[in-house]
Amino acid sequence: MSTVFARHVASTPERTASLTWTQIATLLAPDPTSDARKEIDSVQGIGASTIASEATYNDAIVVYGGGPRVRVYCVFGDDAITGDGVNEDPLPRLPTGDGWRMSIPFPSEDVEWASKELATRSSRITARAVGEKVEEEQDDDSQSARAVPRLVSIDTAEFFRS
Amino acid sequence: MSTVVTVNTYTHTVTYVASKLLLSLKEIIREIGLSPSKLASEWADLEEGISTWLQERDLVEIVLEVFNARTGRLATRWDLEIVYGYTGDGSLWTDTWAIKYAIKKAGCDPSGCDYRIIVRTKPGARSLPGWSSADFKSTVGFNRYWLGSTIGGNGIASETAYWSK
Repeated sequence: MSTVFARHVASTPERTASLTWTQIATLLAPDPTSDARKEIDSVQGIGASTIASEATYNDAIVVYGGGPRVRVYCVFGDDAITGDGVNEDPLPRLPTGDGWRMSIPFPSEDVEWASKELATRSSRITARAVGEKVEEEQDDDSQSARAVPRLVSIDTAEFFRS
Repeated sequence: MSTVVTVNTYTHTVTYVASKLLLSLKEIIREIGLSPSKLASEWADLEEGISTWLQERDLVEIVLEVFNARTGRLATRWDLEIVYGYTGDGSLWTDTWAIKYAIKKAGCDPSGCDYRIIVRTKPGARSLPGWSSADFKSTVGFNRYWLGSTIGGNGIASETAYWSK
């Protein structure tokens, strides 16, 4: 079973959408010289646009495949100001090791242009519509559905003999 | 019983309005039928500039010009004017539905069009790196239609208008 961490980052009106993305990038890849950080920084404007729409309130930015799975939500309004529900603690393990992927939620009407623009900047970062599951989570669901339950029986003669 | 009182400072309002102004531009660009990718590539610089001038009460309006990429002639224009001193009810709010409805009414053929964003500031406003001066395209033959307030907060509001033939 993989480890999942959740973080809730304060956004508007405490931070602008751009600076919210920077905070998220810092959580996921604190070393500003790392390839992962540069790649996440390269999509700052696209990420900021969906944060401004508040799509990341209920639907997480999900990072997976390169360490623990991390789900990042944004906190808006009064809660962002007071810090209620905000958790920006550094991650005990980074999710941006080899093979990492990121899925960003967008309002459905933004998925098309955002997907195209993300593809020009990154092969790891993709867009999905609000309400849709991350591709990896869809794979987990289908694997669970295909799993055949196994019955286990105890050989009582052997059990008691030991 | 404890009570938490949240004070929306002017800075909080600036932060909110700056992000929502860009959100409104994104909605307009997409609903017209153009890609917001160019806006997204400039988002951080735009947000920083707009926040700075709003904080200093020097931002007058943000203008989105949609123009024929071949001739340079204006196809439509959207003005997001800033109103300082707006009181409201203390909440921060945005109404992008009014914009979407107006775009449907206005109609605009986006084929062959490009767009640019121009910010108008008060005389004497601070110059920021990466920003250069520009002239508005001619609006001769266009009519201006006012939508009203579409963003509001403590001390700042934005009123939206568009130009159409």
